[in-house]
Amino acid sequence: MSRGRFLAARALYAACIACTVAFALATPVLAHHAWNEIDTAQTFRLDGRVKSLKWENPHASLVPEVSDGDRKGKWSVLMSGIARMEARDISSETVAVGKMLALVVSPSRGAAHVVRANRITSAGKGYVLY
Amino acid sequence: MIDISPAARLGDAIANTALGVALRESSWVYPMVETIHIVGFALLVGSIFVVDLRLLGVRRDVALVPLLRFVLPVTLSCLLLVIPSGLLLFAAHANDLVGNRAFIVKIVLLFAAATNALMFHVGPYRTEVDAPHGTRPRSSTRFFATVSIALWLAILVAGRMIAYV
Repeated sequence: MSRGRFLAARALYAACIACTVAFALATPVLAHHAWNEIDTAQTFRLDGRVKSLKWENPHASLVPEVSDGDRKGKWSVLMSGIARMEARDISSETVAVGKMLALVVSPSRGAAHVVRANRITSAGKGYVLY
Repeated sequence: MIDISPAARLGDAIANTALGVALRESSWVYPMVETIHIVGFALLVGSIFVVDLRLLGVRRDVALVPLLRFVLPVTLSCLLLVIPSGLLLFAAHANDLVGNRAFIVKIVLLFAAATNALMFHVGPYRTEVDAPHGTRPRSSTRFFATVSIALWLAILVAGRMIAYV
């Protein structure tokens, strides 16, 4: 092994240690964005009225309230970033506070009542997000 | 809000400025700022690694001073891409970032990398540029180069982790 290769290997070794340390230090006890957060194998429907909307990057989100049935209550619904939604013709008006939405969602593995919107139906028009 | 530390309050205030709100709610400015940040740090870290590898003793046949004259302006230009875009991304999410462990780790490592580069330039760098062509870099030089590579890779890791913690 040449001297140069040996030195590069030493730098690589140090880099691996530093990355592992950075990874360990940066990993928190509570992750809000767990690695496999959304269980895409499962989907179900939520019909509810929008109580609040966060129209923002990197992910927009809204809270619909389901008025009856097994899924009665408020849900935290994650959507995509704004550009991706606009590319699918969804505007902040489509999902505005007060709108009645039919959502097809996938649940979070970790958190109760946290879901990702796969499809959104608003005012009779369907939108596919994922 | 449970956490009412001065940092949290400042983070909230920055995120709630017109600039912070506009960035979060924009459809194309935000991804563009992200892209500038990525292009900037790809070129920044790439250019730093070229110099670090040379300082480790790889490709000693390449003269150090012309190499630095070529690469250093590239590195410094990249700072003009990463720093403003980074500040904008910080402004958009200051409320989350002030308490984000990965972000704090990243900032600490950035200061460590800057200090490392500065210490090299006021220290072994001076004797290194005067060394005869093809000389093996001194062990102190190789130490600074090793630390630099390690820190910059760790900064990339911590930076990517921000979205996952």
